[in-house]
Amino acid sequence: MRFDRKLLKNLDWQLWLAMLLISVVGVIVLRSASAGVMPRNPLYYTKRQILWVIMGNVMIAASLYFDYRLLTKLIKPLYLLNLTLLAAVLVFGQERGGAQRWVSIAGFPLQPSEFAKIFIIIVLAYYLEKHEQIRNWPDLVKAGIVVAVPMLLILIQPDLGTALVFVAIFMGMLYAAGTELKYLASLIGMGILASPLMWKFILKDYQKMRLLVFLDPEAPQYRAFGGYHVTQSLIAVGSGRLFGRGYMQGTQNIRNFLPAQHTDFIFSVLAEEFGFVGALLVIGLFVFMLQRMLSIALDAKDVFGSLMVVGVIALTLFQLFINIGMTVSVMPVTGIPLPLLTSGGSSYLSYCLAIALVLNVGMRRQKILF
Amino acid sequence: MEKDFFEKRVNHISVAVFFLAIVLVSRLGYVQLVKGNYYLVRAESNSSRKMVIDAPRGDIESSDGVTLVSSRPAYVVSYLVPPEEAQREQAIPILATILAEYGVSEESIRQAIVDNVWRRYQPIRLAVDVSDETVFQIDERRMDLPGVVVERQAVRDYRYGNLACYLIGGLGAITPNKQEEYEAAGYRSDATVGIFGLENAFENVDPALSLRGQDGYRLVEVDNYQRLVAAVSETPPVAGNKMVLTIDSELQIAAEQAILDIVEKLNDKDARYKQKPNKAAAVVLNVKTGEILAWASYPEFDPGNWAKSSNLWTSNIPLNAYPVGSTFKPLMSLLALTEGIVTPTEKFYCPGYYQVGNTKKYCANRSGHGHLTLEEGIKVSCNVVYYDIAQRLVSKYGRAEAMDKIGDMVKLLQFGSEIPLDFATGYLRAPGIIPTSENFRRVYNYTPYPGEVWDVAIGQGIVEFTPLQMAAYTSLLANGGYHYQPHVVQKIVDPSGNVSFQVEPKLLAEVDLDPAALGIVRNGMHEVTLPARPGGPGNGSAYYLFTYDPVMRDGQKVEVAAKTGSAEVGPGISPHSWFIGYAPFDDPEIAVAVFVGHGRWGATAGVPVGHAIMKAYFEGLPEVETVSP
Repeated sequence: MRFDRKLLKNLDWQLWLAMLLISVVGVIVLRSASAGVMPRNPLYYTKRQILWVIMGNVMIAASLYFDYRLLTKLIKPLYLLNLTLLAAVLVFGQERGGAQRWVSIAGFPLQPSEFAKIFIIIVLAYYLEKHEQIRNWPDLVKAGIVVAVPMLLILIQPDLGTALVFVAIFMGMLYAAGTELKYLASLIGMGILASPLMWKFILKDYQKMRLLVFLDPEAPQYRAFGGYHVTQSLIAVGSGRLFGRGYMQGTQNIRNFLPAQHTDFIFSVLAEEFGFVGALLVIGLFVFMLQRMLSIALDAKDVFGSLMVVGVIALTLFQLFINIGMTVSVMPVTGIPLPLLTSGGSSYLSYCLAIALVLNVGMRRQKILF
Repeated sequence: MEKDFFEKRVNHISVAVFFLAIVLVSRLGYVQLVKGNYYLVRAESNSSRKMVIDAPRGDIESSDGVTLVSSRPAYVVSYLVPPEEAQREQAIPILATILAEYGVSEESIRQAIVDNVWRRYQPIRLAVDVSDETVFQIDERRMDLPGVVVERQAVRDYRYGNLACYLIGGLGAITPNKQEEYEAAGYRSDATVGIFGLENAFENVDPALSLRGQDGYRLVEVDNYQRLVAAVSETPPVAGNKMVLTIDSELQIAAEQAILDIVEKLNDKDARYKQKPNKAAAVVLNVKTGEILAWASYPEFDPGNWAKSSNLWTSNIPLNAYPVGSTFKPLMSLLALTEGIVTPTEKFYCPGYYQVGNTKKYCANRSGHGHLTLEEGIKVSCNVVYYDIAQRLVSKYGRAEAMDKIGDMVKLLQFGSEIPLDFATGYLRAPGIIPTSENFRRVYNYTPYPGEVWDVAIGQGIVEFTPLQMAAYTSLLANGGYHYQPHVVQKIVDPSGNVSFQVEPKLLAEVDLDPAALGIVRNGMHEVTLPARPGGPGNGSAYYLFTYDPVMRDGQKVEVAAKTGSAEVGPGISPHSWFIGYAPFDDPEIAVAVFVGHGRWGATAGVPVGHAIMKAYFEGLPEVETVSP
């Protein structure tokens, strides 16, 4: 296969640039958050994150060489790899904070559930391309099983948040794929019917509490289940006011009142130190990225490409809304990372894969300009 | 899949993107722009703490410039209670172990946290004045003790231990019944305040007078482990005013030591005296000003740890009333002479007892003093002379009226009027009992018989006064009738060295005494410290020490006037020992009253103490104890 340089004219540089810009903001905010987390080695997380940003973007660049259609030939191996990794987590996984999410690969701690999101986007896009517009129940059930197997493995970890991302991806892609509304409505109806049972039999008490925290984060019963975290986050975000308290000046961050400020609550640091203006800028960049992705989805040369992009959109939108919503107490505490900003290799690199897919689809759209 | 249909659905997703973005932005706008100031205040209160720096209390100095009580820096362990339970659970057991020797336990820490919930974010004081060793232990385990803060604070330094402890009084936490009063005056609820004595009397008063200074504050920043990360600002405390007392340190030391010596000496195996001295007092007044030059009370207590002593409020002995015994005789003599029922040259006859009808009472000297004048009666403390005087009063006025005449003289000499004191808050003060027929009837429910009037005439029966009252009475006899208000505060000096308050002598009453009668009484009291004269009835009752170890000043003997007393308190019970006296005889400067409970005879306990005090005043201490600061 020869790489056609003309393809680069179709590359969505704006999307990539916005993504890079958010990554840089992430590194800058992370530097400040590290001063609170690891005051004795404040560059530890920052250096690692810079490494991920470089690795991730080199990976994106490299991926542009390959046609994404190649993936259609690798669906089964990809799916099996995904399940193997998720199973490996359950067998060999390292426990952190009460859940097994990490597995060590060649000495690197890897969080397979992050990559599972991307794999499932690819697999589901392939499946839906073959079964264009699901028009019967068996197709729907099969599609459901494709998603449900990895999702269950993740639920067992337990990682409710990531499992919910799967639901969002599934619903978003089904909707874009033109699934008749009655099927979607049935799915939603089933979800509604199943939720009391889930509540009663599946969810553990702490998970229920975390789902309810946003109702009143300062209530004493939620204190130990993230209520304290959300309260401190609200104080951080609120005290940032319009222009923020200044870089590395946020007391909630620097004095460590804000928990997990380099991961789940990185946005709170941004809002505390750069204020409403800073928060708006980042949300604006994300919205811009989403708009670029939407236009790529529309222009894609095939359904497989379109749906993959829609899957990435669903993933981005869901994680963005849940994570930021959590920091300002409109969403439950779920531990879902904020794409590009939350520090960590698995999260960043897996999202780079997602962006690589989108850029690839955009670059290889129908209208090639000569 | 039709292109248009797909486009429609993707457009729906686009709408969702905008909708969710608007939700987030509106919420951020509300939290950051509408409620921003509220959260900013909360962020600041999260990370800043106000640590109180106690103002050093004012020093208390003796009139001769010796610092009796000062303040010194000490370590105080406070706890900034961390919000996370896990952090508390980690720290509390360790803290309780380290601070166990200061009476801190896990329960007491938890209780303190509960008690201070309403002051959350403010540090709770757990232990004051901890040792360097303790500070070191806390420092070693700093990482395990989030929220524990060690600070330097001033605490009371009792340089002379319990010297003058009853005057100085003690400090402690605000008692619940005073909470409102102190809070209204702007005190912190965990403030340390004077509970009794001078510490209390000059606590919540005009700041120009108060020993208390103004507390300082240190604003600090803490992290979520409540570790201090930075000091923001500091308002230094202003020290309290210095108080200069009228107390002479040497005299005070001498008085307390003399009491301790006599108590130790009498704590013997002598089976005749079942009760050993258990309480004692000495009060020394300047007869020209009312200044209290020494105030001793036994048993003493540790002012730094007074809470361990029980019943302190009743144990300031100079304020408790006891039967006064023969120290009452100068007053009776004055009465007899003023009434004209005795002439100075008239001779009484003492065969060792006195009898009228069936009533017969004995003199202390059963073999009798023979013929003696009133003046000699004072010298040898002859009971018969006073029984006779009492009987003459009974004959002249009737038995009830006779006792009232004595009562009138007692009142004239100001026993009946309360003496205002500048330091005595927190102590129970006995008013004493004035011998009147009414008081007698109140106690016994009948009109006194002549024999009971005789008893009163020798200071027995319903004649009870405090050592302080006896000192004031002695002073009155010495200065010819000027009743000055006894006081212990001489002046108050503010931190910049200006005298903010100076106490002037205050005359409470001027008593009109017949100079001739007073002269005879004084001569009699002078004779008490002198040996027998040829043809006289015997040695003065306090002659021994004052003759063989005379009080000297500049190589000259200082003449001392005195009276001893042995107050019977019941059959077979060791009597209370009294001594009152003043000196120099011709131009009195000081008046002394000594009381030793169950100290046996006046000469056994009262005289040695009074003698030691006189010696200390006129000669100074042979070797002054000094404590370097």
